[in-house]
Amino acid sequence: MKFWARRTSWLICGMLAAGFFPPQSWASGDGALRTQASDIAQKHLLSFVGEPLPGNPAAQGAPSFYGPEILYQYMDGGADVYLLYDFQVLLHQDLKSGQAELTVDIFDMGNSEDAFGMYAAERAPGYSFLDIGVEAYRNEGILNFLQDRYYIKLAGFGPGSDDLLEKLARVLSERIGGARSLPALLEKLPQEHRVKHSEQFTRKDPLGHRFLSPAYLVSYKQGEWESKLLISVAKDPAEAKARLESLTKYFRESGKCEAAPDLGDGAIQASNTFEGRVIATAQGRYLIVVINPASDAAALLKKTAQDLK
Amino acid sequence: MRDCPRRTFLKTLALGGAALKLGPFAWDVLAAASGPALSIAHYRSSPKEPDGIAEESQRLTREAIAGLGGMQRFVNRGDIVWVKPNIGWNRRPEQAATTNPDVVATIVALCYQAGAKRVIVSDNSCNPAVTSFARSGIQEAAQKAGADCFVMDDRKFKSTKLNGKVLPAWDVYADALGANKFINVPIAKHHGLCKATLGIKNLMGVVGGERNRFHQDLGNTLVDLAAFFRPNLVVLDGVRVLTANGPTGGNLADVQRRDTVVAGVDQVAVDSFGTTLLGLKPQDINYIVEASNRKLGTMDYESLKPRRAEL
Repeated sequence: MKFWARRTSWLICGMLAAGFFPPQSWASGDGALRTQASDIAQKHLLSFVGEPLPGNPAAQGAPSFYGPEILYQYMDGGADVYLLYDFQVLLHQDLKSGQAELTVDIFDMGNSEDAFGMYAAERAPGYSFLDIGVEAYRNEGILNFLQDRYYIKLAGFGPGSDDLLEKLARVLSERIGGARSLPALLEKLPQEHRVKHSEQFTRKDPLGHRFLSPAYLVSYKQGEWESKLLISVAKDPAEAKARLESLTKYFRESGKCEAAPDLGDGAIQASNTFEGRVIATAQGRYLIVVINPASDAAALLKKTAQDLK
Repeated sequence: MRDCPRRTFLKTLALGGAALKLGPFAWDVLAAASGPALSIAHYRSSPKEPDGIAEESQRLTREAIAGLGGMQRFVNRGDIVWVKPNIGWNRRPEQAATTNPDVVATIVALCYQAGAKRVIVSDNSCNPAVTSFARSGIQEAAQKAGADCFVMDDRKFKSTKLNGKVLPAWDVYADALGANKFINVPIAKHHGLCKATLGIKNLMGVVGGERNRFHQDLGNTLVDLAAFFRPNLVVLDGVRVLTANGPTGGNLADVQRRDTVVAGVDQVAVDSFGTTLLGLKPQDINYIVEASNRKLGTMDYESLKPRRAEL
């Protein structure tokens, strides 16, 4: 978890250092709408939580909407990660059914890839997963799931709330519709030794390196040995090669780097005190990196390159 | 003064001089300077049942404060005490996003035993305040112990000179400044932006305005708050800690038991020890490093020879 905490902090600090500010202000639920687009987005979100809902809950006040500039009012520092994934708008609604109190938070992340990125940023392989939407996990009092461009977080308190959470999630999933699959690239990556539910997507500064943006990251485990497979997605093969050169330059300056022709054209093996050991190659528009490679990681690298052709 | 040894005289003079530079609760720093600086109480077992956890939390809090000499070292008869827990989130106590209500209630009770006239418990919540105060269990526990526990009134934030490195002024809750004593009661949590939220970060709950602007330079903005408030006492709740997806949390799978409460007069030392409860080091947290650089306290908490109690 320390790895993820470090990675997330790099992303956020880099973004803030770049002076990133979301472009548009949004009003909260009791304020005036600012743009036609926001009006449409809010109405669309509202359609998901209209009656009837399981347990016939009563709304506890009007729904609130938070845009990028005011999300912090609801989540303080927790908002910044959402902004990294191009968060668009949040609908927040409190409900009550008998003694059960429910909170519905629907985050519109703009597109399914960013929604996956945000969902996966808060997910851990050890969670208790269930089949709702693309994927869902739950624990006492919470149920979060991913579907299409939305990341939905439900919380429940009081007797009967956990049962209601699942029913509510299924109704919301039906209403949302849209895409119910993980990003297509993940389907192509090797399955053997893959740690289920470990996949992540980072739009900005993966591992703290802007030139790797955006990238997918997947864990592989053999016994106690854990490696990470990073797929940096470039525009085209030329850019992928340029990224490999940047990676090479970085490792030459920070540690050691040498050519590894047996791993592929232009492939490298490198190490430094921060990332440790890596092997990398470019294939098409992808830069493929294995971090902390196991003894047979060459096979993983080559298979990945083959599967991404 | 004529009969006191030269070293004691010089030390008192130095402390007095330092006090002149300090914030709203400055004069009591002198009183707080006499006695142990750090006290760590740990429970050997880790009870699962709610009553067991409640008893553990109460005992650890009492023991940690007793290790500093007791609440009477910090609270005088007639004092108005501001107790600042984390009531930021609409979460249950088990979810470890807010301070343990039994820790808060025990502190309130100890303040009254020490002679406080009034104890106020409040926070500028991030989630809707009314539900956060209720769901965290803090409002009920604090009021049962006799505290005034209320949601902050937006109209009571007043622009206040902080004379900070990056914050010349900011909106501070006026009632907090009107108190005689300030006790900071954070919970140890992972934080997605700054890796850890502990005591210094918890001070954000006494200010208003556009707090997201703090995030542009947490290393300095938080330390400006720490330099301004300088709590008389910090009591860090480490009974349950949130190890991932902070500050909001919510998933019990992210909560781990550490069965520890830490009390101290050195807010940097308390936070430094707090990082270890999250598997970090003080050097990992930029605002702790900055606070240490600005001499608000020490990251080397062991150098304070903390009093340790195993219960």
